[in-house]
Amino acid sequence: MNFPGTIRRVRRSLVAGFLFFCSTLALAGHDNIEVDPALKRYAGQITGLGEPDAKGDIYSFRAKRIRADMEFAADELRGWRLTILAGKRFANVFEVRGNTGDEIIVTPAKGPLNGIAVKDVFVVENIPADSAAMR
Amino acid sequence: MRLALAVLLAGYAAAALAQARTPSETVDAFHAALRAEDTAGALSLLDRGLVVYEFGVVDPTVEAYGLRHLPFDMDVAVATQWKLESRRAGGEGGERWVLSTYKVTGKQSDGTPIDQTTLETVILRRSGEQFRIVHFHWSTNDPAYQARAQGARLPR
Repeated sequence: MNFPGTIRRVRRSLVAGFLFFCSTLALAGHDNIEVDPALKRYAGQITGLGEPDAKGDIYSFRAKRIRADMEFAADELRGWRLTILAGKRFANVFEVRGNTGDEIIVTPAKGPLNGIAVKDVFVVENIPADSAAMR
Repeated sequence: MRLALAVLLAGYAAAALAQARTPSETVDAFHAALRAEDTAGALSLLDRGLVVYEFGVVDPTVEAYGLRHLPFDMDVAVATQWKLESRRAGGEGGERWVLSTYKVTGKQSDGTPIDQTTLETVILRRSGEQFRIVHFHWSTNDPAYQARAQGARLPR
């Protein structure tokens, strides 16, 4: 077993992956155009499902931010729009009721989160619940 | 009773027609959703098999596009004006294509004016009563950007 060689290969793979990631960020989107963000948003990934209530419905999940070292600030996301970007609940929208650093709770207004799964990705956007764009 | 049933059915038909979009209308609805900051609305027009080619970069899945580039496309849509300049549509059955060019104007975050043409190829697939987008390919006539994007690949 060649540990130093393995470490070098892993390191090279990580660096290559990081550079590929950076290159896609630099050139993608309609981003020959550079504009200010229309709204504040974070991307995240589900890391665990919340406890179901008495009816078996889920209204919370544990999460980590993507491309960020920091956790969410407590209740920073309250009232924000949450859209699931993958899995069975793809394109479904929820309203954030509150959050801790690594947990997000949604309101019942858009129904339970049933069907979400660990590793599903989502975006939370600072659009108030009464926004015209809110679905 | 019959009248009430007829009215009810007419209402359902109208609602169904409002939902059923032509391929061109689907493309326009996608751009409208971006402008409206309607993430779910934009996603709902995309097929789960979506692949996006955008200025030399590939988003191989709808999740990758939604996570990495849809937000930026939304920002651009909000900050700029897109005027449809030309459109051709074709295909048959459940597979269709829509080719569009847009005059894109506005200002970048540093105040630099934007005045360019964006070229768009969209392939759509019928899914029930709807067409959903399975492929986007965007490029631009902006020579400065093309030079930046392709400079590394060209011999000096």
